[in-house]
Amino acid sequence: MPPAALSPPSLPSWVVKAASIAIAVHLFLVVAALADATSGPWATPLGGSIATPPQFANLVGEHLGQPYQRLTRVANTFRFASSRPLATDAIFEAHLKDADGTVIARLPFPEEGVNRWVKHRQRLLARALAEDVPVERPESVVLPAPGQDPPRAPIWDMTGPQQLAFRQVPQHLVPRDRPTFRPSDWSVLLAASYGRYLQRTHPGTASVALVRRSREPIFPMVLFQPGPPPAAAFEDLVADYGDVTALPPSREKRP
Amino acid sequence: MSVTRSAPAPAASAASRVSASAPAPAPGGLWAAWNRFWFAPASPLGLHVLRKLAGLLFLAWLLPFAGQVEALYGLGGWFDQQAYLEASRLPGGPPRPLTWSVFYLAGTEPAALYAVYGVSLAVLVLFTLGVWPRLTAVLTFVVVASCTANPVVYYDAESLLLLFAFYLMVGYVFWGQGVRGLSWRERLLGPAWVRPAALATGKGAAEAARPDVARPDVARPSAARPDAARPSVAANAAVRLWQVHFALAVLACGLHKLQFGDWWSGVAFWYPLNPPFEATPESVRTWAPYPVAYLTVLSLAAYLTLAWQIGFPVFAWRPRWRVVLLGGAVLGWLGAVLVYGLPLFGPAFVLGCLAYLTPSEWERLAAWAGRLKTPVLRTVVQAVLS
Repeated sequence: MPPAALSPPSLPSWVVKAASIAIAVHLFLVVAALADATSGPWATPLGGSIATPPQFANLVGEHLGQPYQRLTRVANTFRFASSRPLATDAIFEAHLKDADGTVIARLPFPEEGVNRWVKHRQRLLARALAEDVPVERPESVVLPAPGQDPPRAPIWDMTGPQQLAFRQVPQHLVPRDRPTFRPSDWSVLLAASYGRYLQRTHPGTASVALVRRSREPIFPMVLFQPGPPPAAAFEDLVADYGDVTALPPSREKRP
Repeated sequence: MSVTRSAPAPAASAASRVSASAPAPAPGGLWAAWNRFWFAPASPLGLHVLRKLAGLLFLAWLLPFAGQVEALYGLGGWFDQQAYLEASRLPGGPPRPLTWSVFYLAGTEPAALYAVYGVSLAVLVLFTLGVWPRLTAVLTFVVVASCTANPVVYYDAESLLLLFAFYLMVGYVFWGQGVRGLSWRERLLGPAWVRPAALATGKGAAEAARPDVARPDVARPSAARPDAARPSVAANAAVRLWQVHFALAVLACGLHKLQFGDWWSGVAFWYPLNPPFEATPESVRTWAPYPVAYLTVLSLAAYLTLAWQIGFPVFAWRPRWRVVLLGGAVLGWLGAVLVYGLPLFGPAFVLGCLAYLTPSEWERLAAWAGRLKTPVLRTVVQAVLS
């Protein structure tokens, strides 16, 4: 039911036509933006697969949608993160160090004593640091030129049970006997940026190390099991980013 | 609104009944239907009420960050200038597009950042009150867009706030521009203060609601004149855009959930009810004596959520389904707070749904508010609905 439609249009016809075109173009870009998103992972014979956006939406988004979105900010995909039930939760601790490498403060994040709205934003940052991605193993070993170092790859190196450390290792040393992960480029960028923020806001801080603690969700099948789930299900995975203020800049855009 | 609403004024009720409940005539084909949908003059009461509610929501959203302005909005904050440069060079680009913000003009200077923040709050207050709405609506959109520019702490519900701010801006920029004899100042800023006095008092509402009646005394928008209730094409078009876009957003949200097996199996709510860092071996076994009953309730709730979101475009415009529309939104609000611990989604969804109410329905709500026993509550509700 339209709200309060009193009478037919009283505008000049050219205004109606121009406004109609504007509305139609706007809604077309809104709908194209809604569709311009990857979906999945979908089940395939080769495992989970992420589907690309439909080509029309991708084409429109690339040429019109993105500039329009940057300008108006309303052409979103509306694929809310809270719709994704299985999500790893994360918190972290920042270790502030002086020039000698002595830890001068340990700051938990989310912080204690902040209001729930701020704490919610802090959780968003913490979760963004837990977006790990699989490391692609090279098909063959790349031999460096004489006198040069072999290409290196960032990985989460397992240093103990439930313990990881962020390292740059020669590409041929990426473990081949198990899946290997690394923080996403976005996570690394955020960690470094937050480290610089702490340096600026805490005088005397020469470097900042971030230690992430993440935990996987418990599945509902626990309700049908005879006893409580094993204690390991409630253990944190501790991932040490190391000195985030010394992290190399994120990789440059590929040509 | 200064009059008690124990008995709604007959003139106002008659006018709104004509305007809101009469089915739109069908002749003319698709083009005529399009014109009626978008360009029929309509009472701007809904737009005004949405402005006040959205303004209150914007303020409630922005005020809690008063102590974190540098961290959240400045170029020296959690996401600093160097991060912006590096993000622009990421393979595939950043997860969220990098965009503009007036806070960037303040750079890393704390005093300048707090000045921008203070001005932003003032703009939101003026917009909520309806002061120079044409100007403050544009500035409100700039404020909301600027405060959602940080890609680190961007939160899903903020896309709904952007949607509201954008269409309110569209509505107020064009609202009342068709009135002849406006000064340039009025065309740029709007009336000094929006107050739909005709609908508030009932006096002259029928006349004010008829665009064909010449009323020299209401020819210009004014704080004390009932012109704020005069039917407006812009008000209708803006609310229509809000309605269509919000319906698309809710539908997309519902369809997105279908990508996840946990929604199909009905256990999606299990996970936010047992967040990893709060779950203990005892807490996750609380319902172990009744697993079937518990999961049945959870799965019913999940499927009702899916049905409400995917079916939203079907019932949102139907007055007879108001209970489903608003009841679902209120339940969603409770769920967002109690299950997910998300502070903003609930009120944003309720506000989005309120845009589907017709002016006559707003008037009925105002009449009901006039009968409220608690004076403070009555005054507050009437102030919003006036």
